[in-house]
Amino acid sequence: MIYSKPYTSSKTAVIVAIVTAIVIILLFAYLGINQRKLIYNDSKLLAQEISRKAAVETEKYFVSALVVAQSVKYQLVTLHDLKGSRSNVRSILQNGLMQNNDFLAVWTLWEPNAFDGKDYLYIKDSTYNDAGSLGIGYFHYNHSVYTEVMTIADYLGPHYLAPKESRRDIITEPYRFVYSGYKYVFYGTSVSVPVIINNEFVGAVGIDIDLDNLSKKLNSIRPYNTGFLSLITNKGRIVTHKDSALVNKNIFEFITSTNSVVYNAVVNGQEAAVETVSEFSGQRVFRFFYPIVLSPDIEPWSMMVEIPVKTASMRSTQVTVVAFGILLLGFFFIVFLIFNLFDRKRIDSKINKALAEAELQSEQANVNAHNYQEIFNSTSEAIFIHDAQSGRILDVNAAMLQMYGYTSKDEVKGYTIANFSSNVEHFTDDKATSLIQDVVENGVKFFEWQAKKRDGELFWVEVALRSSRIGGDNRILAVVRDITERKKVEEELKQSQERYKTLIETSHDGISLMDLSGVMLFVNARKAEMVGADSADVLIGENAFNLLTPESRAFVESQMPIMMEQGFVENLQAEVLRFDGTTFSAEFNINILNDSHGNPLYIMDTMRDITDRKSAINAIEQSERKYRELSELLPQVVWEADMNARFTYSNKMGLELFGYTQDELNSGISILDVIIPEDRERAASNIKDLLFNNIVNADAEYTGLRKDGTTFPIEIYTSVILSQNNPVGFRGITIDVSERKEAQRALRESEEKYRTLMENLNEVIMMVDNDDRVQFVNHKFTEKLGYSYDEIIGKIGYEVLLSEEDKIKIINANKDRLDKVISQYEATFISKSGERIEFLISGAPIINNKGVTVGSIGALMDITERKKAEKALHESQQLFEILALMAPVGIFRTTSSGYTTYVNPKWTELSGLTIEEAQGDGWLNAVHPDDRESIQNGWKKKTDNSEKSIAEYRFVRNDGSIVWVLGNALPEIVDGEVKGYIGTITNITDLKKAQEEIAKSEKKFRDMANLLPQTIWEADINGQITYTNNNGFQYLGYDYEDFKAGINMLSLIVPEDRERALENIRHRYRDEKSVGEEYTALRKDGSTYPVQIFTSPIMENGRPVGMRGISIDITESKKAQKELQESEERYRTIIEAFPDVIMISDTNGNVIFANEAFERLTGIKPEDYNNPNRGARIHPEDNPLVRNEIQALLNSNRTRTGIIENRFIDNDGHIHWFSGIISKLTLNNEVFLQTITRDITEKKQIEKELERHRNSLEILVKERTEELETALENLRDAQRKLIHSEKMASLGVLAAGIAHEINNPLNFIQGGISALKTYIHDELPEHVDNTEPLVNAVQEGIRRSADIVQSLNRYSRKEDFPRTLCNMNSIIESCLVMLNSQTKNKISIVKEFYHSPLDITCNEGQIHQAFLNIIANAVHAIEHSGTITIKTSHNGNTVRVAVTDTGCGISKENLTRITDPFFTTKEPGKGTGLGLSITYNIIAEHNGTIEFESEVGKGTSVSVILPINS
Amino acid sequence: MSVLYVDDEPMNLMLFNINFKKKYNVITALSGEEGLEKLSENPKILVVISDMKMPGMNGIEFISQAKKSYPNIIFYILTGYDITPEIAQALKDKLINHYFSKPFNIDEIEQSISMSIGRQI
Repeated sequence: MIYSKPYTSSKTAVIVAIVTAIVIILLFAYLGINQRKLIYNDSKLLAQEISRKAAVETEKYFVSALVVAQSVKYQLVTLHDLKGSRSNVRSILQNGLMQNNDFLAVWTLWEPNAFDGKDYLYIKDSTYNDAGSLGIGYFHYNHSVYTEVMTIADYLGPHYLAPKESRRDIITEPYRFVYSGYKYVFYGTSVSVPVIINNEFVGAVGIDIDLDNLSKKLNSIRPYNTGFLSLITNKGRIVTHKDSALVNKNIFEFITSTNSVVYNAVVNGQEAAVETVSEFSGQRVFRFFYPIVLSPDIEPWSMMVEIPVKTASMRSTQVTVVAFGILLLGFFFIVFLIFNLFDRKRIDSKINKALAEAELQSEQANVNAHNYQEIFNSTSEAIFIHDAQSGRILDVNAAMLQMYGYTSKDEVKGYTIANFSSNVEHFTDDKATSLIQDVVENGVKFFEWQAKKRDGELFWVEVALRSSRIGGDNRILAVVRDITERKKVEEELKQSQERYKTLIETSHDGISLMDLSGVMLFVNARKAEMVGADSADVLIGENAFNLLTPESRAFVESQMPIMMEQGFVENLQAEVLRFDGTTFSAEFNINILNDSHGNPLYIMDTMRDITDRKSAINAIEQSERKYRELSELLPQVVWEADMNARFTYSNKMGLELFGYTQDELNSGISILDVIIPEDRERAASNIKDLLFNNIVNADAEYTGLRKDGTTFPIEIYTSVILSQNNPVGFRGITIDVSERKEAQRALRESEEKYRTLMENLNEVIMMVDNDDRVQFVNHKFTEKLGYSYDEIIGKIGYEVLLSEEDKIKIINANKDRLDKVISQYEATFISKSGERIEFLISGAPIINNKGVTVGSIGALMDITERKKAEKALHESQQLFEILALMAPVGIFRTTSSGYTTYVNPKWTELSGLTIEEAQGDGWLNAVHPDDRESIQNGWKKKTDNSEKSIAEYRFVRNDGSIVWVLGNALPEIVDGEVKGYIGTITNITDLKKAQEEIAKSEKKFRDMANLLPQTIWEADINGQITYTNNNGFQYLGYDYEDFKAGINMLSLIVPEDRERALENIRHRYRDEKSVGEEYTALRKDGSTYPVQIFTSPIMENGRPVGMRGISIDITESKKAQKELQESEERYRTIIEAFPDVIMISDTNGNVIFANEAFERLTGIKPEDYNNPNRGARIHPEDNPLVRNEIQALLNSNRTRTGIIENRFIDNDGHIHWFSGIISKLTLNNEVFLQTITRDITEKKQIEKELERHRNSLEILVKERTEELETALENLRDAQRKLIHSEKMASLGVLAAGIAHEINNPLNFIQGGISALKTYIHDELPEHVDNTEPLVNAVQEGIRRSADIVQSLNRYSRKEDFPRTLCNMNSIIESCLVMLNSQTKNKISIVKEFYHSPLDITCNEGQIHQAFLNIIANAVHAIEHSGTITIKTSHNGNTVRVAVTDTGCGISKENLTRITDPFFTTKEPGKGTGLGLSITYNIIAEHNGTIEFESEVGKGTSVSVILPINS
Repeated sequence: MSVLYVDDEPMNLMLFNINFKKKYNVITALSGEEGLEKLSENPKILVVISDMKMPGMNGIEFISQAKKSYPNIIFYILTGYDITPEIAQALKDKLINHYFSKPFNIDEIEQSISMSIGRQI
């Protein structure tokens, strides 16, 4: 926001102030001094002019009278001269009067006989007087003209005598007269003119003027309204005056301060003007005198005009007022400007502050707006914004679209509620419109509504409608929550009552209700049926325990205390006795039903026949036992261990092998405990690799350690146990490899032995394979032929060693070996140095254990010398003898028919026979009886056919030991004829033994393999399957014929997997361990299934010769895994995406699991789940609520709580409102709590915000403008000080002074009367009776006076006076005393005082003042009569005083302001508006409260609560 | 028992004397200064009652001075004023036993004196 600092020049203000001051002063001078004077004089002149005009008019009137009189006079003189008749006189007079209606009368009166000298003629004429003289007149009266006879008396009147004597025109002094025949008395004057004929007075003519009439006329002239005219004669007589009482009085009687001006004006007919105080009105007046001149002869009368100065100069006064007004205004304006100047700086800073504040608020507003937008879009409740008039939807949030099945806001905009309502009865558009109308008028509305989705589906919602002004327009805000579920629950609840009845009667379970002793009160039909009763009625009244077998009854009765304590027993199994005496197993669920006080009332049970289930369980148990026993039968050690490598299971084999008991295993034995200490580190590292790095080390051999300390070699194969992808332990197989090891060792030893033997033989020995490649030569060979081992091994023997002629012989001989032919021949070898050496070669085939010839072995005898010398034969024989004697193998010779002729010492050693005993067939005695027959027959057969013989057989020696030997006998052919046999026997006992062992083991494994549920197989190096267990055939759908025909292992998996399989096989050959590769297996019929294959190479002599493996059908586990994975994925996605918090915790409050929303909303990270001291927690004030809900849930058999709303403090300390439900969850027999909760903070905030908007502006102002409050507080302070200094200082001092001054005289009276009383009592006892009432009256007077004075004293107590203990009742009493004069005879005071004194610690003066104000207000509120009730009461540490009046009351709008300073409803000057403000402050200072209740016309009640110790 | 009553109004002194002379030997003084003189002349005075507002020394000033020389005498104030902070302080300091308001109440004064004397004896 950009704003500029408000700037006003103070210079301008100063100039304006000065200029204004000058202008105002000039204006005042001009108006107030100059103009006023001018206007004043003008007014005076104007008044004079008005007076003059009136005077002239009057003068004209009189002059016209004179003119008429003179005119008549001349006519009469002429008539006299012409000697006219009297009748002519009459017509002249009549004419004169008729022409001048203004005159009262016209008359003439003549001297006797002066007119015609014929008076005598008219003596008797009634129209003339008694003398008959001419004296007639005419007068007007009531618009008629009457004749008047002028009488003799008229000659004596001033109207006649005056002109007669003065012979001049005159005007008479006013006088009263009557006309004859008429009673009316006229007040008038006459203008008379003398008739002079021949210088002789003969009569007079006159005009009568009605002064009453003139007076009326003149009085009607009221200059300036309050002024008046007055006609005054030259003698000073008042002719006319507005006050008729003054008429005829002399002016000089009134004008006391006579001066020459007035006198001259009146007497001499001069014009005059004076300003004086009127004697008539008492006002200051302008007084003007104007002469009324009729003729020069007549002394003029005067017209006096009085005009009040006030009215005449009204304008000038107004001008003065205006001038002063302007001056005052200007003065105020200047003062204002000056104050303004001083104030400006402060205001400027305030404005700047306010602007900054405004900007801040504007920013806040933007943030809020943004937040609201966020809330609007992100809340899970649907929000509609309607136009209030049209009902059209202006906007909705995303949740609404989702809830109602729309995709975009544009679809919805412009719709009305009708589009979203079911429009069935109660939910029509009309109804919606009326609800909206209601909201517009009344604000907020909550209701349930049947809503309609876009696809027409109906569902229930809860709607909160709220009217609000958005951007100046009336809008309806609808917040909609989907309550379909709740509705459904409600509906279900409604139906459940009905359903229960049906349920109970149709239940498959027996249900009964019984009292606490077990007597059945209700039984359903099923129960009756179950126990074989004819009807339920039979059972009612029976004891339910009688339906149990005695054992069950005892058991159930033993459960009763538990049941009574916890309120229920579940799954209680008991044997039920049928009516026919048979029994069945039943399961009971029993609940105690409580009355409303929680005392047990009834027992309710459900009974279920579980005979079938029991038998099913038995079947499963048996099956399980079978499998468990099978596992126990396994020859290997099968075990499982936890993450700490402690055994959790081992089969019996394991326990036996290692010498532990099951109990010892249970108490915790580690894998490391069953291997020797030296191996433990290695084992631990391997386990670690397996568990944490998923590495399977080939290293499986360890030395096992039995409990008894003995050791043996073992191999351990392990795999990880995974639970939810996390390792939780591992399982394995431990194989005792002692025997295999032993066999290997034996073999190795044997090999060593032979090797040593060979190497040390003096005979040249060589071994070739079937291709004649030299495989082995002994040391003698290198000596004899000069080739080193390296030069000869691997070479084709005959190509290196032999001459061409012997080559064929050797090749053929070696070919014979394939047919297992042993032969002797001679051949010539060539040494490295080229020397020819003749050898006699004994060649024998090397036959492997399968009976196949794999090569030849030759023993070469240098016969170079024999060949050379004849005698060589004998030597040779001797040599042979020696050889035989020395040979490490047994050697024997027989005749051609097979009779033994010679054995060497080694032979005797092996057989245990002497040479003599071996002769002939004697050797057979040493042969094992089992072998003897077959050996004898076999040997016979060979010798008969002159064939060589090889046989394995046993010798049983004298000591009983058995020796396995391999016998080898070759015919001794000399010149083509068999001379005999020569043979060797080799001790193969060890080999045999090892073979046997292996065979035994092999069988064991084979049997086991066939038992194994997996497929076990072997293949040769080309992948041809060489072995598979029974299962293999079964699984793959092949039969034995197929197997024999040859199956390649690659054909057992689908083609796509074969490449990979080959790759894996290569890995195996590189000695990488298999971890179980997964393939898709292919059956013979083309169907497939997933397998996991573990393979390992078959090594022979360090070279791979094939592959063996285990294939496991993982269809089920795959399927399960896939399902699990999918399910897990699904749930995980749902839970993680779930907008509300989902949390599972144990009953100790540790979090076990929580979704993403949990951390997002609470800030609790997984590492803090079990941290009881984490920052984020339930708000302490709401904690008990949540705890109670959880406790109630755990103690009940409900599964979930209702909706709990609570505050929550997150990790950052922010407070959230959560609204959620806690459910009970049982996992692995342990109870957990599942919490699903929603963050409704923003909703709450909106509610709060709306609430705040609804509340009055006052609160907003209070909240936001602290400054104002401070100002108010300052004002209150100032006011308090003001009250103290002004009122208290003056009134207090005054009151105290008065009190003292009165108390002293009162003291005199008191002392005096006391003394008098004593005196009378002592001295004049007979007067006591008479004086006592008087004395009492005086004393009562003193008491009352003293009370008043004391009240004054209380009132004057200083505020800073320390607080003392005061009695509230007496404070109020003294207030009432002070107000006594105002309440007396008008108001009745009802005192309902607390029965004992109410002592409180307070500033008595202040409290007195406070209550004086309250009671005075009550008194003032009552105009005529009424009642004031004052009630004091006591409650704990407080005292309450209630003052109730029946006065005029206070209106609602004023009620909130009555404690404001200077607020009053009294007329100005009657109340300061400070009384209640002071009262309020005093009560507040005493930590008390004051409350007002009032109703106009009924009265007001003020209640004050004060703490006893404030 | 002698009681000294100090008041600047002779009328009050007279009336006090008349009302109490039967019970006590009443000695009066018109000012604090005279009160001190009377105290020195009459060692038997047990009780002193003084007005508060007097020319020269006021009641409390007089009593504070007297208390120094006669610590065993019981002092009272009899005043036309309401309790003042000065009197409140004197009460608190035990300078005076009680204060009476004018117009005096004979019974109240008598009771108070007899109780105080009783206590002191």
